[in-house]
Amino acid sequence: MLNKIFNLIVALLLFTAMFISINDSFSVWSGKDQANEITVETLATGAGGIFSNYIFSFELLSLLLVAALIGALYIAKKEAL
Amino acid sequence: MADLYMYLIVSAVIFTIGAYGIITQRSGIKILMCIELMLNSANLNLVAFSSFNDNASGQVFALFSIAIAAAEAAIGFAILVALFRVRDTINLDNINILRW
Amino acid sequence: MFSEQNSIFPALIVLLPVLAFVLTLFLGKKLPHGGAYFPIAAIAGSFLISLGVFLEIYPNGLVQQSWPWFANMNIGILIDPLAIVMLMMVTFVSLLIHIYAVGYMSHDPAKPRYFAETSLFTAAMLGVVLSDNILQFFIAWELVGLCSFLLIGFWYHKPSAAAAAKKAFLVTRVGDVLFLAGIVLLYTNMNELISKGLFTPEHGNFLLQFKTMFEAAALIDPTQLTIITLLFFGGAVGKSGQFPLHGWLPDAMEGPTTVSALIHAATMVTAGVYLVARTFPMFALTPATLGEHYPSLFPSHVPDALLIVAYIGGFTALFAATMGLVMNDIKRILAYSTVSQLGYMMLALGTAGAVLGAKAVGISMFHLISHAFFKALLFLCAGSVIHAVGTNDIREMGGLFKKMKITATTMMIAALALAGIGIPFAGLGLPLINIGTAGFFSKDMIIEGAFEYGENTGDMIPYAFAVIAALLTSIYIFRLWFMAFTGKPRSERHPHESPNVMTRPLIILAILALFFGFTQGYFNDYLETNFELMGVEVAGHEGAAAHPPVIVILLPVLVGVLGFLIAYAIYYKRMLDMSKIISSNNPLYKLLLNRYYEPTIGANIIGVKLTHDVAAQSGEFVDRKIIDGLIIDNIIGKTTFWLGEVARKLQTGVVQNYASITLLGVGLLLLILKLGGN
Repeated sequence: MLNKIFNLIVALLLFTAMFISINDSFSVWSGKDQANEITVETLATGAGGIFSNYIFSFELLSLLLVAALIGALYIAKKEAL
Repeated sequence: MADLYMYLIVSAVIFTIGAYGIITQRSGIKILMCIELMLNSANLNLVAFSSFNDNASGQVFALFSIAIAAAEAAIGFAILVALFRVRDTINLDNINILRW
Repeated sequence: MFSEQNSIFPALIVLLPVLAFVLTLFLGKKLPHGGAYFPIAAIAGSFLISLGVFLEIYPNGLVQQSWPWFANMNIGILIDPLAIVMLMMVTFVSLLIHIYAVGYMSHDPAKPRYFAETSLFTAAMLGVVLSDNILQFFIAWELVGLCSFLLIGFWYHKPSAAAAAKKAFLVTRVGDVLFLAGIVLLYTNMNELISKGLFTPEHGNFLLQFKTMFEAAALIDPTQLTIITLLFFGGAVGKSGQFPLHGWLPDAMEGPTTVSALIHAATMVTAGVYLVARTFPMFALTPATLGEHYPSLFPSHVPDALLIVAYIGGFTALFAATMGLVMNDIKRILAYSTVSQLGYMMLALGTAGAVLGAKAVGISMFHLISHAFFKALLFLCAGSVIHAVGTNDIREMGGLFKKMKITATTMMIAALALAGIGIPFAGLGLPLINIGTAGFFSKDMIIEGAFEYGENTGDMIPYAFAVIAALLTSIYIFRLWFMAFTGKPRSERHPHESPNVMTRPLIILAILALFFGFTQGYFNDYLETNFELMGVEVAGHEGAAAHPPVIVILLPVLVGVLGFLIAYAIYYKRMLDMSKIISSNNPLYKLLLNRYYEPTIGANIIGVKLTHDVAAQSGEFVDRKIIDGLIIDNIIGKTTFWLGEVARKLQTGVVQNYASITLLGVGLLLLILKLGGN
């Protein structure tokens, strides 16, 4: 029981901290008020998109996924490691 | 109406729920799901900021984050499977060999 | 070519043996003779370069090179007459000993390590000789001490060798600390002078170079100067084995004989004498306060530092010679002989320095170099004997002359040199030159210098020390020769003459020991100009009576011959039954054999009781009574334990707890940052 209360307090503390920071930083928000459309075109070819600056990281990410796949296979194998 | 402030609050709430889940749940699978929750709340935050700017790099960041979350979840489940094979349980409260 | 301002050859003198060290260390195992060719080639190269430099700078040239290093220190090379004679001697003797070692160490499996270490040692010793400022001198000096430690403990599986190496390093360390203190004191004094504006070094000269030191020495407060020079002398006492830091030298005979020849006869122990000779102008400038304040005890008008140098040197000469009389290990006799002869060199610097000024450096260095030749020869012959017979104890030798003629003859030549046998024709006024071994020329000069000192100041004690020590020297060295080489064999051994690679260096050294003495005139004249070339004036009256009375000139020779006759009578003709004297009941014999109980005092009393027990007892007292008993009933200890028990419970091993603490921490941090107004 004490454990549950302690955990609740921790979570609420975290939320409070985040709430305060959101308020503080939102008051100085100098961006737009209307949301843009989020489409695949803007993701890929817009300013700061994948194909502009981050193409290399994109390729590396695929490599990471392959590595994760192989790693997960190896750990969960039935026969001895 | 759907302005940036709402998105940020929703993201913070989801993050808190995920954090509460991690520190209370006993089952390993539920903990992994809560980790996913936290990651996704951060993604939401990133995409929200990106849509209110003209820069798409926030969305790129979120894309990478999703891919990495997937990789990490895969490994996490593999570890749980191996753990289950040894301990016959995934109740993480009882896995405390590194106790004092 | 060798001595130009930016020629690389002077630096090569040191760098070639370093290169040989690296090569031998890594490649020696696969090469024949354990890679001995590298050091031999390197040291031969150094010798040839030194010879080239000598031919170019004789009679009044200098080699000075320096590069800035850090703050106002530099690295530099200074080759003046003092350095060049030392360089030639060190390289030549080292070369001969390396060649000899090829034969002596041929059965040893760890040859590459041996040759690498001796090569490094030679490089370090050459670094000491060549350095042009006292900081570099000190660094090379320490490196020499390190190599000595490595080489004494060469056979490190033997516990006695490891203990001897440790003792050598620690005792010389005491001297090194004193030396460093002297350097620091000198540096602070010079800085003080500069800040007061009384002294400015010439442009392009660094602070601790010898030239600058000598220029500033005249301006330093005289009491400070005395302390500085005495601290330097403390370093020399440690390295050269003078009383009271002499205990390590006889123990250092645990190393291979070639190591003893190289380090403890010819090179490392002479570094102490070299230091005093190098900084001689500072010694000569110290005030004569001891003579003023205690006129009944000390002579007047003698610089303090030189007085102390002379007394310690003379006392050591006598002290070590008494112990050399009773030792039964061939190498220990020679070790005490080395200590005694080094005492002679210090005596020369002190006494002749007081009355003859810069000539003392020539007298002392001449004895240093001739001693290097005949002492190295003695050690190498001893090594030859040990190699043949298999034991160090002279009581088990005997009758070796028939089987080992070359060794016996060369050892006799060396013994004659050590005892200083010769005929002083010219000194007697006869129209012929003096004839004698090298030791005759050098020792005679020292004893005459001591006599002139006694005449000028009325203090004959150093002279008496020198003459009595000469008598004892002659007795013990001929005792050694007769017991080892004559008579009937005392044990069942089968000696054989050593191979050529070992006897040829013996012959070369014997020729030098015989004929080097004739160069004394040139040598002394050359070294007298040493400090003038650097532009430094040496204080001290110039030359007293140049012709001491006949009896003084003859006395050393008579004493040497008397010692020979005594040893001949006792150990060859067996005219005296020594068994009553040499027995455990004779207290004097026991005192000498136990080396005046100095090892006991050093190890047991100072080492164990004074240092260890005091530290242990006081530590325990503080721990038990004060820390534990301070507040009631060991509360400090108990509190610490309790805190540990509590903190232990934090480690639950359950991951969620760790996660919760982490998130708590993050939340708190964020909150504090936000509420702190960020």
